[in-house]
Amino acid sequence: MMIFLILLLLLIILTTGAALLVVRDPMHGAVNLGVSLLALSILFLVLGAPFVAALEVMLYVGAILVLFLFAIMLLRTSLTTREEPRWRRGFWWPAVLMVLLTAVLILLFSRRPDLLVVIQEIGPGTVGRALFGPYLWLTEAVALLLFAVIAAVLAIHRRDDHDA
Amino acid sequence: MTLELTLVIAALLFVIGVALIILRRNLIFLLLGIELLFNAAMVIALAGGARWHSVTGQVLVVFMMALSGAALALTLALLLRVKQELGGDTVDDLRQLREEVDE
Repeated sequence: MMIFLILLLLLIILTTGAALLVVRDPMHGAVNLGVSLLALSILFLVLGAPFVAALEVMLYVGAILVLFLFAIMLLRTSLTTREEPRWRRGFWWPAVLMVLLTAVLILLFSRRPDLLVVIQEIGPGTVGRALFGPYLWLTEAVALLLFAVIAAVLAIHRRDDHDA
Repeated sequence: MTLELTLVIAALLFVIGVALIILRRNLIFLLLGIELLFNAAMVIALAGGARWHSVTGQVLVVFMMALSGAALALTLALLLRVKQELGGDTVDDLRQLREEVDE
């Protein structure tokens, strides 16, 4: 049963990746990347890493994808109002992705105890003790790096007179 | 079998990411490809952690998430600046920077 689940995840990642290569609209690319990231979070759950799976949903789908959406909206040149037909076209691809994700959820919740037989789960407590134990200085370094990134982004977008 | 398929998924993500970086001209798709590359590395780290029952894989993935987020924030800011200054968001718009240096 787990093999089916992983093969389904492989299929989802393959199709969304292929769609990423061919879509024209960056917004469609963001949608495909989001579905691919959701499939990856299920894969992380299967690999016995529930903390990282939750982080993948919260950080990647919740933060990084939204950052992409902001950038896409800011980069859009003009708001062209086209004459739209009554029914939206092109809804079949998101519908296919929804069906695939629903199949993943059904597979995941129908045989939940089977999933953790092969791979031993490492919970958030162990990860937290490692992060704030032997890797504490590395965690602080990442915090410092994120602060530096904030400063760098502010410096990039600074507007003053001698600025080109 | 699970771990082998996981490595196949990682390889697939890597190939798609490299193809996005090489083939697409839009800079947004280039950044999406870089995110896919980060995700491929994360999958491999988690597979290693699951294989050897070690927490180090997950710790590495947490750091990789922070690093990719930092890199993405910076590159998106640069991308918006490129759009402001050069008026486009494709790779070809960046090429005129090199021509200005050559002249």
